[in-house]
Amino acid sequence: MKKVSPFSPTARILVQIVMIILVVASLLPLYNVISASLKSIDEYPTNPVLLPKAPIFDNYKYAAFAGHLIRFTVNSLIYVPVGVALYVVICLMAGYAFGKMRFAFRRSIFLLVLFMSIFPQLLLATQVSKLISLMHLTNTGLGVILSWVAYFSPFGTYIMTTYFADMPYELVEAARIDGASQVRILVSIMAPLALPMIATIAIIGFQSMWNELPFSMLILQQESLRTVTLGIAVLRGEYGLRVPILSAALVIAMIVPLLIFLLFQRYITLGVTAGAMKG
Amino acid sequence: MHNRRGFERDGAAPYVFLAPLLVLLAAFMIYPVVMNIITSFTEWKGYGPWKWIWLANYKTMIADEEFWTSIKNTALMVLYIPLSTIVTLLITAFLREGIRGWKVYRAILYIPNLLGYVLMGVIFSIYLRDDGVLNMAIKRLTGSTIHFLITPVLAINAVGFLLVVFLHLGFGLIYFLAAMNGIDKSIYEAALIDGAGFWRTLFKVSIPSIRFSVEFWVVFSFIEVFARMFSFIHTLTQGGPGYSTFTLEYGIFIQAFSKFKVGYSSAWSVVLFLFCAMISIAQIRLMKRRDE
Amino acid sequence: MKKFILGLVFVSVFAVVTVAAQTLTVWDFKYSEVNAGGSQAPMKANDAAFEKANPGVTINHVAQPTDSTQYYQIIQSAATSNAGPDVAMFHPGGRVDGFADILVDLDPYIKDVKGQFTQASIEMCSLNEKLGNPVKVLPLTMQGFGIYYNKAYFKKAGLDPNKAPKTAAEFLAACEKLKAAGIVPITTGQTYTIDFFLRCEAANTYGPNVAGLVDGSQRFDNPVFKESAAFVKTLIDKGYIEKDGLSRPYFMDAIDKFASGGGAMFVGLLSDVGNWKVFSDKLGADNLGYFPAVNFADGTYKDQQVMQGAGIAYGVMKWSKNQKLAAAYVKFVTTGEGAKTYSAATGALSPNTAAAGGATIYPVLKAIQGYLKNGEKDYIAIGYNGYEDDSNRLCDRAFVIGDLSIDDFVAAYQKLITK
Repeated sequence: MKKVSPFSPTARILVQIVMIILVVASLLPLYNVISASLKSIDEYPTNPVLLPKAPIFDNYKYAAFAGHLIRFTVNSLIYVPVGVALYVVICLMAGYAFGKMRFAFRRSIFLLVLFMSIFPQLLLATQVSKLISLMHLTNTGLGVILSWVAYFSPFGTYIMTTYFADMPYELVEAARIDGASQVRILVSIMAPLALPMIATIAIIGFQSMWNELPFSMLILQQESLRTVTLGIAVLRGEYGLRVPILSAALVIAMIVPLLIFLLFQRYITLGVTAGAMKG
Repeated sequence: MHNRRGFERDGAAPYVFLAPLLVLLAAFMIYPVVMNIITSFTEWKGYGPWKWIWLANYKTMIADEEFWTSIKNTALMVLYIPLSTIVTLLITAFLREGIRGWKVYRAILYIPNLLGYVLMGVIFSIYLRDDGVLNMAIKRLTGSTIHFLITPVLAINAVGFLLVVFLHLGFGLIYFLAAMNGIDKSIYEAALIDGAGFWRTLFKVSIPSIRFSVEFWVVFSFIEVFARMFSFIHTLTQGGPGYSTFTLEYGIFIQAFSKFKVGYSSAWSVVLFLFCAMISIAQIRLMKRRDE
Repeated sequence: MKKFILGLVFVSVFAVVTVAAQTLTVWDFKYSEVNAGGSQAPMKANDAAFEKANPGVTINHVAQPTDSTQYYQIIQSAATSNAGPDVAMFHPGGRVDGFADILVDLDPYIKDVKGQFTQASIEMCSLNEKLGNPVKVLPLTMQGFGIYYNKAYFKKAGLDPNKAPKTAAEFLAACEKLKAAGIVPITTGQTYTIDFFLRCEAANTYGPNVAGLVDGSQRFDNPVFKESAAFVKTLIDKGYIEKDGLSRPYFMDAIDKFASGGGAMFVGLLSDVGNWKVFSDKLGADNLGYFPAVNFADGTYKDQQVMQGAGIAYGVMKWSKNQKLAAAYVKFVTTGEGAKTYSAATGALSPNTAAAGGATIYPVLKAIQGYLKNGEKDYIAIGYNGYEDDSNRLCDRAFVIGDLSIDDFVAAYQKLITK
C-alpha cells in the first residue's frame, strides 16, 4: 500500500524531537543509577554524576551475595509465576462467568468484585497478615501468593469480563447447541480466542506481583524468603546502604523484568507489530 | 455486559467458576474491610484488646490538619489524570503513524512501567536530588539548581507527574496502540480520502473508536492514584517535605504503622473507602451506558 | 556438687529431646549492615560465641528493614498474630512503651548484671522511662549527638583548629571564614542535621529539666530554645547550611560526604553510624574535633551533651517458648565480651560500664567522654510513639520549606510534644 504520512517534514522532525526527549527522560534516571553502581563508596560523594573514573564491580558482588539479591531474585522467580498461573485461571473462569453466563445476582456480584479492585492494600494489610498467620502461612510462599492472587484478581477479572462481554454471543450459543459443556466451551473455544487478553492480564499480574510490597513485607518475615522488591525496600532505609551499593542492587533487580520484556515483547505489546500506514 | 433479560440461567456452573475468586475475596478483602469499619470506632494498637470510643476517631480526624492536607494532596494527583490521558493518546497517535523508530520508542518508554513503583521510587530519589544527574544538567544549562525534593509545590507535582503520567505512559502506549489497531482500517482510509490531517484523524476517528478503552484507562488511573501509589511515595519522598506529598493512603500508613493508632487510621481508611465507592459508582454508570 | 551432677544428668537426658530443637529467632534492624564497620560482622561473631557456649542452640538472626516505620510495622504484624521472633531489637523510649504488652519484664533475668549498666540506660529501658518500673529491654548502645569538625579545614580558613567554636558568635564567625575560604561550613542531610542540632540545643537549654518538656513543666517557647531555632534559620539563610544538602539523605549520604571531606562541620552521632570512629578513621584521628552544642549567651547551661542512655536495645517477646534462653542471649550480647565485640567493631558506645574502655587511640573519643558527664536527656526519645515523624515534618516546614515563622514553629512544636 502507498505510504502516506499525515505529517509534513517539519512536523515529522518535531515529533522525532519530542520522542527523543521522552526517551532521554526515561533513560537518564537509569544512567544515574548505573553509573553510581560502578563507583566506589569513596568516589561517589565527590563524583555523584559523571561517569566513574575507574569502574569497579565490587558493589555488584556485594549486593548480589552479601545483600542476597540473587537469592531474592530466585524467590521472586518461584512465587510470581505460580501466583500468575493461579491468577490467570481464576480471572479467566470468573471473567467468562460474568461476561457470558447467566445466573442470579450476576450484576451485583460483578459490581462487588469491581468495587474490590479499587481497594488500597494498606487498608487490608493488618488484617490480611493476621489471617495468613491464622492459616499458619506466615513465612511461606503460599501465604504471599494467596494474598497476591486475592488482591490482584478483581482487576484481572474486570478486564476479562469486559473482553468476554464484547465477544459475539453467537459463539457460545453455537457451542451450546453442539452440546458442549461450559468447561469445554471455556477451555477449547473461549480461552484460545481470548489469548491476547490472557497474555495482557498475565503481564499485568506478573508486574503487579513482582513489584508488590506491603503484603510481602508483612508475610515474609524471614530474610531467606524475601522477594526482590522487598529486598530493595529493606536495603534502602534509615541506616541503609550507600548509594553505589543500593544502585548495584537496583540494577540486579532490573535484570529479570528487562529479560521478561525482551523475551515476551511480542505478547507485552499485544501483538501490535506494525504502524497503521504499513498495514 | 449483556442484558440478562430473556435468557435462561446456566445452573450451578457459573457459581463453580466464580467460587475460587469469591472465596479469596471474602477472606482477603471483605473480611478485612468489615473489620476495618469496626475498628474505626475503637482505640486500638493493631493487636491486643480494643476500646470502643465510637465517633471520637472521626471527630479527631475532622479537626486534624494532616487529614485535610492529605485530601488536598490526593486531589492534586487526580488532576494529573486528564493530562496523562491526553499525553498518552497523543503519543500513541504518533507511534500509530509508524514514525521512524516507533518500536524502539515504545520499548524504551515501557521500561519505567516495567520496573515498578519500588524500584522507580528509589531510582528517582537518587535522580532528583540536588546533586543528581538531572540537576547537574539543569545547572549546566541555567547555572542554578531546582530543589525538586525539598520545594513543596515541586515535590507534589513531581510525584503527580511521575506517578500518573510518566510511569504509566509505556503501558498506555501499548494498550491504546492495540485498541487503535483493532479499528477497522477502512475508517482510516476514508478519513484520509476526506483529507483529514493528523489532529482530525486523532479526535474524529481514533479516540471515538476506542472510547471504552479510554474510559478504562481513566478508571485504571484512578485506582493507581487512590490505591497503589503508597510504594512510590514511600520510596521517593516519605510524604515530605513536611506534609507536601502526604496523601490519604500515606496518612493511613503513618497513623497505623508509625504511631500505632490503628483505630484512628481505620477512620481515615473509611474515608478512602468512600472515595473508592464513588469511583465505583462512576464506573458502573459508564458500564450501563456502554450496555445501552 | 550433687546439684551439679544432677544438673548434668538433667541436661544430658534432655539435650537430645529439647536442646537439639532449640532455635532462637532474633529480629534486628541493624543486621543488614554488611559493610566494613557495620553491625553484621560483630553480631555474627557474638551469635557463634553464644551457640558455642550453649550447645544445641541455633541463632536465627534475621535482618529486618532498617527503615524504622517498616520495621515496627512488622513487629506490629507479629503482635497481631501473637507469634514471631524470640528476641527483637527496639529503640528504647516511646516505641518500647508502645509495645510493652508484648515484651517480657527482664528484671528476674538480669539481677546479676543490672548494676553494670549506667543508670541513665536502665531508666531509658524501663517502662515509661522511669527507674523502678519493669526493665523491658537491655541496651546495646547509648546514643547522642554533637558537632564534629574537620581541623584541616579550620586551619585552611585561618581558624584555630584546637578551639571549638562553642559560642554562637564564634560559631557564626567560623562559618563565615570557612565560607570565604570556599569550604562548605556545615555538611547537611535531610532532615536530621536540623533535628539533631535542635536536640543538642534542647539539652543545652533545659539541662537536667529536659523531661519536663513532656509533662509540661518546661516549654519550647523558652527564649533560649527559640534563639537556637532562629539560629538554625540564620545558618540556612546565610548559606552556612548548604541548601543542596537538604535534599540529600542524612543516612548515609551526608555522613559519607563529611567523612570524605565534603565540609568543615557536621552534626553527627555518638554511636551506631556516622560516629567518632567512622570520621576519625576516614579523616584522621588527630584531624577530628568535637563539641556537644552551641552555647547561647542567655543560656543557663553550657556544654551539655544530649544523650539517650540507651540507643538500641534487645527485648524478649512474650510469645517466645524459650524466654529464659532468649533472656540469656540478650544478656550475652549486651554485657561482657559480647558488648565489647560489638563496640570495638562499630564504634558504638556501650552503656555497660564493665564493657567500656579501650579505643584510646582516638583523641575525639576522650573529648566525648569528657562531655558525657554533662549528659542530658533527648526529648525526642521520650516523646510519644511517632513523635519523631511529626517533629521532623514540622522542622521541614519551618526550616526547609519556610512556611512557618520561628514564632509559629516554636508554638507548634510546643503543641506537638503535649499532644
